[in-house]
Amino acid sequence: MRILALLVLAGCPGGAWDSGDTGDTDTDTDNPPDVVIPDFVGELSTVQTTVTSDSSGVATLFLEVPDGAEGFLVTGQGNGLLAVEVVRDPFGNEVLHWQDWDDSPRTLTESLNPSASDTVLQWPIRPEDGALSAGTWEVEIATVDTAGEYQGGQIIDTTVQLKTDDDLFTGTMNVEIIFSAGTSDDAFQGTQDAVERWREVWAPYGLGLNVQYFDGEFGTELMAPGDGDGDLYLGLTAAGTNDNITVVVCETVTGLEVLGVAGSLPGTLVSSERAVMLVSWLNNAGPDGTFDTEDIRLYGETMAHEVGHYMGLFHPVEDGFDEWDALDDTVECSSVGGCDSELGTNLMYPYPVCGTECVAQDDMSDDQVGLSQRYTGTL
Amino acid sequence: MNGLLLALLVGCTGGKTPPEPAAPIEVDAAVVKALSAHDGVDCEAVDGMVAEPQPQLLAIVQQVERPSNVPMRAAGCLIERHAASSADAFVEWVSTDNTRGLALLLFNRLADLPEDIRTEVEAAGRKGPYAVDMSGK
Repeated sequence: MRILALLVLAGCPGGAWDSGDTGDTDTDTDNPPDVVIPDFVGELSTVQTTVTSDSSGVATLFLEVPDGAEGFLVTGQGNGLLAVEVVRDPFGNEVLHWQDWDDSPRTLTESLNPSASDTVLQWPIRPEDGALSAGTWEVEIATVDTAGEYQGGQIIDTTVQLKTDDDLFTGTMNVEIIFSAGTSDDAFQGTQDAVERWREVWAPYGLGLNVQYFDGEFGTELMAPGDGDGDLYLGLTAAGTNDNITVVVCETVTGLEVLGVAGSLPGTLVSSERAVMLVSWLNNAGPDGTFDTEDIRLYGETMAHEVGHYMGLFHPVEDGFDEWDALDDTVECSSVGGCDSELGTNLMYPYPVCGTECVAQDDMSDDQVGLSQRYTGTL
Repeated sequence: MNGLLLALLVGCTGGKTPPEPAAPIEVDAAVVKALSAHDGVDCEAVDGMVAEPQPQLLAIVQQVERPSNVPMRAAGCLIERHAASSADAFVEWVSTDNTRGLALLLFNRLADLPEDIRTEVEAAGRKGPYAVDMSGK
């Protein structure tokens, strides 16, 4: 039995799917498995299939990785709570096992936690995970109920995306930014200015941005992805393509005056109820509701921070100062003062560090950059 | 004798000198830190950090400028957990120049307020500088 690590979320309906070939990988122990074979268009391949959990509650996805592929992103969507159980390379080695991380104070990926009706796995995650070997990979996905009991016979809609980007030192992220209805010109301009700060933060690390702006037809107050408004996020992301991420700009996030929030760590490139980052222009503007230079800077760093989460970056230290990310080159500090001092300028630090002004948070460690460049959406 | 007593009393009470304004409440650095989290903090947890959360949260709204989400989150916690004792502040937010952000936050959360306070805020909002913003909600 797997113990739920996070708040149990309500079940969600099946996803709406974007374009892509559809295979049939109905995994059954009595039949030989079908293997998902990618069909590349440009640098990215997107293949959809279904797998079904066996009597032990685990479904196995077999993925044929061709020569030249650099990374894959698996998105599973089902009715129970989903989590990645094991990942095996073509040589049968378990390169990722949920039990290795279950009680660890370090977090590698949310995909190991059965906390939602979807799960997103990026592999490789870190530079130290090595290059992606060609051959047949196995990804085991567990379906559990809210009590943590494995559930057999559960169908999981699965999307596999592979990238062939052979340059892991430079890459571009395609981003759709969608504004809630009635967003003022000031908020629109403030957001555009903040995107320039985001671009500035990423540039030294070989990360580029290709941004498109859209007006949405939804209200000014939205719920955090995972907490609600799932149908809205499903619809917004279904309208997009399979090679971009979606940032939704709203006025306020229901019951949570956050600067921004990411749907999952990592996040998917295809349509799902959590496939968005939500940013509040109002909370970035502050009590006066207007943007000054300092607000713009922090707003841009917030967008870079939230998209960093979406690419799979965790805070180098969590707010209790007793949990850390799984990267080797981010300091493991354990007090407010020490962490402010050692990590306060890091892009993924959980707090802005401010006096009359806030320190610039635009540093990324080599491993943070390496993880960001490996994310399948960084092309 | 009576004259001397009167003079002493006048001296003790300071005569016509206006009363000293109350000293501003010192903002608690740990509360500000908690409120500044990129990914948010639970208002109940914030309340547990200080003996008197309402005046502390109000002081943060009034005194802390950076990061911008700190006064906004403090304001959200006042709306969520201390509305009954914060009505005067709410009316001020919708009536004063340079508080449009607080006013918009409040307009989005009107449904969360007790009815009597909601009525009071709406009445003030209709007369205030953000009446157009309120009518759009």
